[in-house]
Amino acid sequence: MHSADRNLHEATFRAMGCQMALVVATEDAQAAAVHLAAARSLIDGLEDRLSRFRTTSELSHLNAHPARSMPVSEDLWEVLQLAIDGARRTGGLYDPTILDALESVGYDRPFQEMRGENGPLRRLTSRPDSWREIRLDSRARTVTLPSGARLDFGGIAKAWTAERAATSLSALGPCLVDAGGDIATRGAPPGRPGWPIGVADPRHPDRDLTTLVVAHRGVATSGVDFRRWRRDGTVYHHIIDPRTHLPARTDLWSVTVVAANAREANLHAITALILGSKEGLRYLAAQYDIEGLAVDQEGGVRTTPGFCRQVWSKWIAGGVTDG
Amino acid sequence: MNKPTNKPTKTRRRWLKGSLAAASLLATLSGWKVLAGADQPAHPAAGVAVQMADSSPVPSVTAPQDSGRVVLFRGSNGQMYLLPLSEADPAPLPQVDPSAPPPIARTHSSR
Repeated sequence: MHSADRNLHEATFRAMGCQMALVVATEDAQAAAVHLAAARSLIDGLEDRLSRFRTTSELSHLNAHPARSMPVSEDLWEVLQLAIDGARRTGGLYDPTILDALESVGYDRPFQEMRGENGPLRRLTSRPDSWREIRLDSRARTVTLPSGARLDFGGIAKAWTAERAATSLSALGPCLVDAGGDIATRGAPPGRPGWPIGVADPRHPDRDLTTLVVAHRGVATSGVDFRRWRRDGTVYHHIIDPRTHLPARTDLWSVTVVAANAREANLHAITALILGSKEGLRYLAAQYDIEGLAVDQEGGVRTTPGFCRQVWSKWIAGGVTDG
Repeated sequence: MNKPTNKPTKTRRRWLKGSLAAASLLATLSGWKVLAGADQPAHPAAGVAVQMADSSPVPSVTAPQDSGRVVLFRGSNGQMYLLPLSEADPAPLPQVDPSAPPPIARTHSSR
């Protein structure tokens, strides 16, 4: 074990429908316990606001009142702004108003509770590109959803939460927040060039394709390898293509992106996944300060040209010796 | 004895220069942008690659990456971009240092 790794303190728990891990590097074990508990409490509070599965959440309340001007909290306001900005920047390939489409193919309860039900798909009530009709009043901080549109922020809210928790933990020391595979980092563990982060092979989830070295950046993976289910003999997954309002017909299993933060990484990973192997890689290569890795359904692995700078190679970590 | 003349070469060069200038003007008028330097937007728009163009012979193994091959890219804003193909080419995954530490976290699709 690297000497500095002995000063890594960790908390793991489930929240937002996925496994969370908080890691902070400090010699003060007592302070670590306090900060980890505070970060966990922050995440629990944000889940209370942003979960579409909790009928009492602020998001559920907003979704239940379309066509009405609704006051929202600063947190919901911030995530909604990010989501609409993401939709604009991806030409609508990321769309926060696809909840109706998600539910229509069966994803209408937490994934762990899905039992592969059969029967015809529910009829859609939302229209394509509904996000363009969301009205925001920044002075009153109110939101008016168009009739028929309901919000699900998907991975963006999780990545945003990871960033919030990382900011909170970083008051104590270098830290990492893993929100079900979307990862935010601040600094690097002492004596290391960055946090070693494995990229799981979507075909063999217990194996890693590579190890990344990440410091003060975000990582996210979007894939169709896990949240998938069968309905009337057809396999569905949770990545909805807003152009069809059906699960994306992509030739990729997964896309992993390293970006300035986890929110950006998540946004571009899902967009590239929907675009597919050819256009997705070109899309990633055209983005500023983004590197990506895509695994196609035949097992091929391809990356953007600069992805090598994120891999824990001897050229990157060569100067650091184990202590 | 007659001196060898280089007139045909000169004519070819002039024709080539004229063609390049015309192509450049056409590209500008069509609203294409080259994704390079100051013209690069802060967040180049999402888009769809619509066709490939090749302005050079097939590069040799030792050729530099900027071989002049480009891909025509349509942004979500309708704008057309020319992206050097070297930037769009997929690259192989580099080898991890065998002495790399075990991962502290793993990225995967949400679970």
